[in-house]
Amino acid sequence: MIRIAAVGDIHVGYDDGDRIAQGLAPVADQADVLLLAGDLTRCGEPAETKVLADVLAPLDLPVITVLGNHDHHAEQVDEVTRILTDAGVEVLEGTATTVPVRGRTLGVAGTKGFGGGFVGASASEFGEPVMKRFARCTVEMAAALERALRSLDDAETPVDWQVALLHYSPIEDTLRGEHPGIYAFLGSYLLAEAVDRVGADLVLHGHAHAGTERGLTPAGIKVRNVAQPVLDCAYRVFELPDPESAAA
Amino acid sequence: MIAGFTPTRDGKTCDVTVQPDPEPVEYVVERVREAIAQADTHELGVTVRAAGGRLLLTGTASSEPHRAAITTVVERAAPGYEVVNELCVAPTTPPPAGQVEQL
Repeated sequence: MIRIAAVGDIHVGYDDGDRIAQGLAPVADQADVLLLAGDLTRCGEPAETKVLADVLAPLDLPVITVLGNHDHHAEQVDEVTRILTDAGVEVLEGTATTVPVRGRTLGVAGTKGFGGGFVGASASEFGEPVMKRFARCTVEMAAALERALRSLDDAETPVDWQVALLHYSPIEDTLRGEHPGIYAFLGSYLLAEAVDRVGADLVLHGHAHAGTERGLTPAGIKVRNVAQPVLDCAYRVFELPDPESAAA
Repeated sequence: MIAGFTPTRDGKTCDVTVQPDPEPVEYVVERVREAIAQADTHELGVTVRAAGGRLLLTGTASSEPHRAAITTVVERAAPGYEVVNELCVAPTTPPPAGQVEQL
């Protein structure tokens, strides 16, 4: 089995290093890997990112992340990514990575994702250029997520567990509690469709602070909203069984 | 505009005073939400409701200083309103050992 710690939306500011460090202190004793579901910083400033990087670098477990909309606000994504990478954090965007865990392999495919809405109330690539760009952005991110998941599926050495890591939500279930009028800004069904086409053991996302924790994709894959305000603690730990025991 | 009639001291004549309409609370609420998002607080998850000259803030803030900073931003964005900050601070304590969700 593997234990996965996950949290999103920690929104680190300049003075938050101690608070975050205390929360994450025992994570390496409780889990094999830490997955971060974006919105690591308050507004995507490199100085905020450095505060977080200094907390993450000493942790004795692999850390994998996607960025969130807050991490884009200062428009310094390359620098934010470099600071995290230098601290040993793997930053995914339409890409995948693998982590060895006691002779087995965890595969993680990630993207920030984007909005657009859900079945029956979703954006279309039609009309004004800005509207087409908005809708197209999610289409492209979902396609990249699907390719990343397939790259894990098609690898010479198959992975034992496959997780999709997002910031925006792939389903409406985990948005319950948010104002329905903003669902289209909180996620897109295209992300769920991408995961359902390939398959995964778990989908993690953040972004919806007032949402709920648990849901399923239309194909029945478990989804967890790990936005910190939803969790009421520093992170959640999930245990995935070994594939042979899961199949039994 | 609102016109008001104020009697003068001799009681024989009236001054006409003209006051601006109070801004509809809907616009105040949206201005406050935008201020919270754009100021150093950079918080998008605050629900703002106006009632009886008060602005009620609910949702979560990431820390106590962040929560206090949001009050300051709102007071500046909506002078004249009493700010009722009922934001919760998102707990960041680690989960107890053994608290694991088996999937």
